[in-house]
Amino acid sequence: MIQYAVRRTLFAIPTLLIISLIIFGILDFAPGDPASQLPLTIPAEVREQIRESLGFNDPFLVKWWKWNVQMMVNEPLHWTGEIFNTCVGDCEGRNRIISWSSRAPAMDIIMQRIPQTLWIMGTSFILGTILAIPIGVYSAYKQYSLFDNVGTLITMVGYSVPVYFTGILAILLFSVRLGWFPSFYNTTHDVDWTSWSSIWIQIKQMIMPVAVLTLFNAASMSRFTRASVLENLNLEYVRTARSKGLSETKVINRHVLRNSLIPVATLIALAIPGIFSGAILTETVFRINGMGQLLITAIGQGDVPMVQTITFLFAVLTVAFNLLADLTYGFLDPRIRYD
Amino acid sequence: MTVTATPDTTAAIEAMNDLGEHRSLWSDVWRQFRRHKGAMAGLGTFVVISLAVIVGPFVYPYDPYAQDLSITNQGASLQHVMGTDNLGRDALARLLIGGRISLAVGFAAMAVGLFLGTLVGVLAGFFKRLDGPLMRLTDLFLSLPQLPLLLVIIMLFREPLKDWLGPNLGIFLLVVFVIGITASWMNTARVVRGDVLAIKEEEFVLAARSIGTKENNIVLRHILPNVLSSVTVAASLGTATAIITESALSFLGLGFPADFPTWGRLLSDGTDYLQINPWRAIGPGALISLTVLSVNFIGDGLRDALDPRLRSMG
Repeated sequence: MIQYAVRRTLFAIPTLLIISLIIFGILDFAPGDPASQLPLTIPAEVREQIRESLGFNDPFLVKWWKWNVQMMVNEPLHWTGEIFNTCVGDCEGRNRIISWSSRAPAMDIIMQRIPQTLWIMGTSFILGTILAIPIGVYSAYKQYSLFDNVGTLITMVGYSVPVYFTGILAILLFSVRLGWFPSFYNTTHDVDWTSWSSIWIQIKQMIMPVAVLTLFNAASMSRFTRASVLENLNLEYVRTARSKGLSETKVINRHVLRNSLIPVATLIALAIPGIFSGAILTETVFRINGMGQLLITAIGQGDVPMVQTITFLFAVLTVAFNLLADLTYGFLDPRIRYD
Repeated sequence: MTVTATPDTTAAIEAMNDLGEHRSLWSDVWRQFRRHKGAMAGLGTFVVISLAVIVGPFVYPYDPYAQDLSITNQGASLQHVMGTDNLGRDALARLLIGGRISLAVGFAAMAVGLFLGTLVGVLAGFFKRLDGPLMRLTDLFLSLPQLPLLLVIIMLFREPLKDWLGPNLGIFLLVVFVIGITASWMNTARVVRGDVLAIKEEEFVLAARSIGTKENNIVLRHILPNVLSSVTVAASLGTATAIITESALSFLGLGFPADFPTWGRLLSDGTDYLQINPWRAIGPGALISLTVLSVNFIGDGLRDALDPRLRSMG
């Protein structure tokens, strides 16, 4: 198992390097000039010197290397320093990625946005899993029953209707017509965990975005679970378990569920990019100023360092989740480890 | 040796003919497909939407681009069934014309993704040397953050392509290729590779090889027709993904230019006028959802119909 884990983890490093090459390459290849925003009174040769000092004329690989050092060495060092109050290397003058539009380190701004994204995405991911697995298992167990048919229809709808439409429908119904929930998320609301009314405000503004994303996540997950359980239910070991007199609950919970959840772990990992996309769109619909909204704004402003950093962070998260799923898979299914 | 028809064989052939008319793979698939209620409903809905979008703009009396500033932001009425937008254009006319682009993008991007996916899948499955690298590439693409990357590519290459090919064609090609390349080919490649790996070991491939068929002919004549069924399913799911992705891009304001209506764009514009005229948001949103839903149902039905284990039971 340890050998498998090490092998799999080492494989993630070239993946990340190639992804960083793609992201950096696309943005570097595109037309653009860091000196284009400077006043026109600056003479051409000074302009050229500014470009030179910014490293704009360096060869591509040099630029990519420098960016990687900033992204993968300087930023982590800075944040471990912040968290543990230690100092490794040059703490004050460390070369960090600076956003073009706000002139602040890009990661500082991203760190302010991450809590909102995690709140909404995390809650809906957990809620989605809690809902999806029992629904998937039960509708597979009672295949073609009323529950299964209704469930399949609902998951199909939840899976096909884009979050930006369910979100708008929810706003239209619950905010415009009924006025139950606010139509946008107020990030300035500082939750006071000792006061019920403050917590209630937070819950009220979270309900709609979380519900919309939960529907989307739960739909795809319960489809995976149902298919996987169906495949397992017809296998011989289920018959053996039944014939040795185990109760139905034990057959399902102990035998079928464990075996069926193995492929589901991988499929969920594959769905992670989709979940991120869903989160970006939900943030746009409900005006949540999380990472997705920051990305959209940065794209609008042509803030290249910010866009690179956020896209790369999304890639790191995706690769990390894939790694996690593969490790779980290897842990659950010994056959994988010896492949 | 020649084969002559003895009375025995003639009787046997007649008996076989009595069993029913000739049954091809696709007629079998169609029979099975018809039993799938969801798939038939999906097919019906999809045909209706496509017809409305293709024929509708010719029949419907209002010009989707004609502005009339005396009737801006009207709610639904008898003249304008879904009301008018902030420039007095008829919302339904724009919805119909916008569907053409959304569907065209969906199909074109699906075709790009399908071509790429089948190519990668066949190459990886057939040539052992290419299998490792190509599948690693597929895994890499699967772990890319799709939407952020799509947004970035479109942001950067919109202007150059617009200058080069004109605003409409340039953006259309950009959106189609970018969606085709980043969104949907990976699943096709995986499925096709699995199929090719199994088919490669079949005896008819060995037979073809032993009579001296060239490698590329084996792939084109013997392998490709046999992966067609998986490709069909992948095609329907790819169309759904492409339509959703295009709408998402337009919704975020990074798809087609503002005067070029697509469903995603109309939905995004409509959200700013929810309280004045909700139909401007509900119409395009419902059509995107219905189209994707029906295509997904068609895909489900096709998958069931093309699965030989299920078909022999029916």
